[in-house]
Amino acid sequence: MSGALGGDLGWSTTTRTDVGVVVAARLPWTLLLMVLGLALAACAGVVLALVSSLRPGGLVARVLTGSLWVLSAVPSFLVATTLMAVLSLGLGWLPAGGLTNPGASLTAGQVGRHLVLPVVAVALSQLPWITLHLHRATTAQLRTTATEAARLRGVPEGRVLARHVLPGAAVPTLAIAGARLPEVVAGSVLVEQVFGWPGLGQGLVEAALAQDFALLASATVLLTTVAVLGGLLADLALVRIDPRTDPDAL
Amino acid sequence: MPSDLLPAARPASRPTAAAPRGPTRVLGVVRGRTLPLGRVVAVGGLVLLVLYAVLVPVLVPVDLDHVDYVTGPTPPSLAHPFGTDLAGRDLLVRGAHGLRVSLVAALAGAAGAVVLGCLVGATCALAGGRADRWGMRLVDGVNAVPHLLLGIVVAAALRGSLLTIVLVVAATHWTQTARLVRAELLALGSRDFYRAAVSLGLTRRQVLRHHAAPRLAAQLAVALGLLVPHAVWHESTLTFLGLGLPPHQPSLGALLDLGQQALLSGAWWTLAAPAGLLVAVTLCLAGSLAGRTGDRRG
Amino acid sequence: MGDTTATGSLSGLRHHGSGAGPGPHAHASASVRVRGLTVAHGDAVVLDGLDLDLVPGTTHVVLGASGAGKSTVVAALTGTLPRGARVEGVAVLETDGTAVDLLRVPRRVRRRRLAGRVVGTAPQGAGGAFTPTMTVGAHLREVQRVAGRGRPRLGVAHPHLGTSPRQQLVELAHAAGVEPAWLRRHPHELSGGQLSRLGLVAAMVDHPPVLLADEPTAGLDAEATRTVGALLAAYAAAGHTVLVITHDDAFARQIAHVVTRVARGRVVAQGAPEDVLVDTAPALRPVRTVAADAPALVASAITARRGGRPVLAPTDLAVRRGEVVGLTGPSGVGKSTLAALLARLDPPDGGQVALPGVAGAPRAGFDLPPTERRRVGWVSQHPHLAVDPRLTLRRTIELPTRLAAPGTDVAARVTALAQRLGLGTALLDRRPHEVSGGELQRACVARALALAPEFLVLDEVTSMLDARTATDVLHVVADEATAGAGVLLVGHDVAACVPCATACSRCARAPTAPSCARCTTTTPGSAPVRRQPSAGSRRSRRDAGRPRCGAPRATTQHAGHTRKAPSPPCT
Repeated sequence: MSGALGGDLGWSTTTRTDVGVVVAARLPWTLLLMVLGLALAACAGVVLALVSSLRPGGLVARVLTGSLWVLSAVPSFLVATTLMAVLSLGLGWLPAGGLTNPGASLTAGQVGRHLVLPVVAVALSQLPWITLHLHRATTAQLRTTATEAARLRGVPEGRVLARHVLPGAAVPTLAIAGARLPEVVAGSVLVEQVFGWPGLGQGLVEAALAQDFALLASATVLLTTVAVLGGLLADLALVRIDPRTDPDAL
Repeated sequence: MPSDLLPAARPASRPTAAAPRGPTRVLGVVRGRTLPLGRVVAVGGLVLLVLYAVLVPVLVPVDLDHVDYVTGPTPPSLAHPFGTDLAGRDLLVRGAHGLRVSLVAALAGAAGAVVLGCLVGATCALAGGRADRWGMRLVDGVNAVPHLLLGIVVAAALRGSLLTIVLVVAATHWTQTARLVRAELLALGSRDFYRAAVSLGLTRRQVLRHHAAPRLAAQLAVALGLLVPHAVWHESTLTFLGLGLPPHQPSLGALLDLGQQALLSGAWWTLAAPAGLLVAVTLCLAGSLAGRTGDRRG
Repeated sequence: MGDTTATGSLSGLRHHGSGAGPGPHAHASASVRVRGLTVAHGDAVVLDGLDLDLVPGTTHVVLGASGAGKSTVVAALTGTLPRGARVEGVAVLETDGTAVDLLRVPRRVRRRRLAGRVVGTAPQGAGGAFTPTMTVGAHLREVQRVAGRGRPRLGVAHPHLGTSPRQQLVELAHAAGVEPAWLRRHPHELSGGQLSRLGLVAAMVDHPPVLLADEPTAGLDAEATRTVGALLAAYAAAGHTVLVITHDDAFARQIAHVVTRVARGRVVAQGAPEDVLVDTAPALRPVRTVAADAPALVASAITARRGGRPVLAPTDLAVRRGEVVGLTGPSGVGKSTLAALLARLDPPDGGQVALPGVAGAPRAGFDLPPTERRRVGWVSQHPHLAVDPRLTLRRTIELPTRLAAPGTDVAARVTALAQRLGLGTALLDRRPHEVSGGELQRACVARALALAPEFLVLDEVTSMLDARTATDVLHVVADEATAGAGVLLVGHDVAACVPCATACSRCARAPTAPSCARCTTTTPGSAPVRRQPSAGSRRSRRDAGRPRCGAPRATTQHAGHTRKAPSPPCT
């Protein structure tokens, strides 16, 4: 333990290198995957939530909610596997895994092409909760007296949506986001395993299978820290948006 | 997880205005209670799946260790509605076995989680003060760790078996129940409720018996039901990764793992069958309990 | 009136402020003529054949009990009726020679041209009318900014002509009794009264010729109500058309030029205030005297501390059996604390509370035996928190009685009691979240009365009820007092106590009501204490000097905390 603080995290029996070296090499890829996946899910979620909440009982809303519900029942490794099966093995549009084509050098183009499927997999597995919570929140927000009063005062609809509805809807979603981040981490671990993405998640699974406890411990702690930090960020954003939140209480 | 996406439990003390929803399709009215179509479909599906998991292995005795590489994988047909896998085994029967194993493991794990959560939550609420604070900090700590990671660590240490799954699920999911139990007991301790009970001449035991116990029992039943899909997920994920149940025991996770490997040879049905079962059982469980989260609304 | 006509006639609205020039008023004026307004929702007819004439320069008040359909009028005029409502009739808005049917204007036209510019609305529940994430000032500036093209041109004589938008806001805020500093705050940092006034300001920012105000004084104390009334009167006097919805007779008397009383969706009376507002002051009941040695619930020199700080100075209070004692004061002064102490729910930090026939041991709460606890009934201010949401109302009322006396026939008595309080059989079978706050409050009162307590402590039980229902409940309480119970009635509104406190022989407050005039006696030597004005309501200046007997008062600030002076005991 004391060694860990000094930078010496132990010796990994599987890769026969310092655990620190292994972790430092793998962590950035994991972060890249998670951040991009979450960002894509958030953008898509906002758009879908707005579209479906403008007409709550309509066909679009019902189809969307139903399919998101079904999607939420599919574990992330299944999503990843299905994507791989359809888009890569079946249609051959995108590469089936790994960081680059075998033997190719590490360029942005290669990484970009190989990044698409994993990011989409992460985004799809996180899309249901983001969209559904946002949808519920925007529907509720559209019905509040505050929105109604803003409309009655003559504020144009676009401004009502942007400044009155969305911030209010973001609040409960951000509040939940902090609790959901561990799931994002878990989801990306599975996606990495399926696609062979050389991130910390894949390292964790391999270490567990080989009972390499040094690497396993470090990887677990690091990924947990990532989840906790992400939750902190969500809380910070919450405090910025909603003046009612008491920073001390969080 | 669909059950996480159900509307959050509203605090019991504040009735909110009913949200105008689109008309819910109702199948009929039985003994004064309306039956929404969605719920009926979910419960019906759940019953079918349970029957499938229980009856098929009994009615169709097949030696599971009998492999037939000559037949190999065949796509779904009348003889084999789900097809056969790489080793020539009928997927319908394998699916039923797998579902049964997974459900049993999940139920055991969920029960363990509920019991543990109940203990911790009740202790926090009734003891109060320092015990409560430390208990909640423990809950937050456990929640911060991604469930899967904790499961992987435990499974790596213990190696795969049914007990592992039960322990993993219990260790990661007790926090939800603990929070629930604590919140229920604290709500009953709300100042005005407490004062009203005092002035109405109720004894503490009467309050516990008539108010606390029924609410708690209902909530715990719902919590148990909602945990089962999570447990099924965890079991299948861990087994898929190779850390859960041993591979000779067919569980949904093992079937999914085999199915993924078979993808490269083009046998998509070996993945589709267990995947479909997993999704179906998750949806049916969540759908049956939809609307039961939070307070019973009659 | 078809759509095309509506749209066509609205093109004139764009210049409604400029062309005609200033008339005798500083704005263009608009009048609204409503004929035969009928609103039905499913089978229920909410409004039936309503006729209104809104004339520029006057204030028209629509008065009625809650549920009579008053807010539906505003909803119909602004096009915010719930989906599925059927509307018949016409509501013609006439301004500058153009006429529009407000009931049938298409939504987009309404939003672009009418809302905020021609018709300003201050909706009910102003506390919720501001988005929590923006400051109040941002809301007001947003309204100013978006006026844009359709902005009403101000006439030459308008006092706001030529001032910057910021200055306009400040002046308007001043007129509403709103300090400019409040504009920088977020909605959750302001009280309900402040938000109500700001809601009105927001509706008035663009000086719309027609102003619709729905319950502008709900939850406000007397002083704030007067300010709001003055603001509305000034707005009307400046040449605008004002429609106010309220259930407060006194407020209507203050501001109305024309009053329409509505009951169950129909117009019951319409005309000048003097004709419509017959004196609704409750009839004075003959004052009973109670024997001075009747058994009493006595609190002697009780004090209370919360969080280490004293919130109640040594107070003496006694409630004799057979009388109704009112306890009033501004919000936050400690009435609920005193009530809870008197009901022996919490132990006092000093002094003691004694029931007749029992030694005054300093115990309270669950430590007391149940039979002793049932002698004092207590009803909470927050009915939602005090009931178990899983039980139906019937079971809620019955359960304590059943547990107290198992084997007796409780059902009949409970039904009869519920009937007296206005809870029908159908209502009794519902759960707390399916009934309104007022009905739940009445159920709590029934639950306490079912145990036939010797003393009753009611903490603001009429706060959620409208005037008629509140009077009914208070009559029931007064009947209990006649039957021999001693009642302590806590409220922040003197008028709430008066109907049944007229039967009391003592009043804990000395208002101007003649029946309680005898309470002005004080013990010699105790000087009247000047009250420090609190953030909440203020008493009228007349009463400032008069000490209230028996009630805790906020006095001068001593070293940062407020101490209550010992109140002179009532004779």
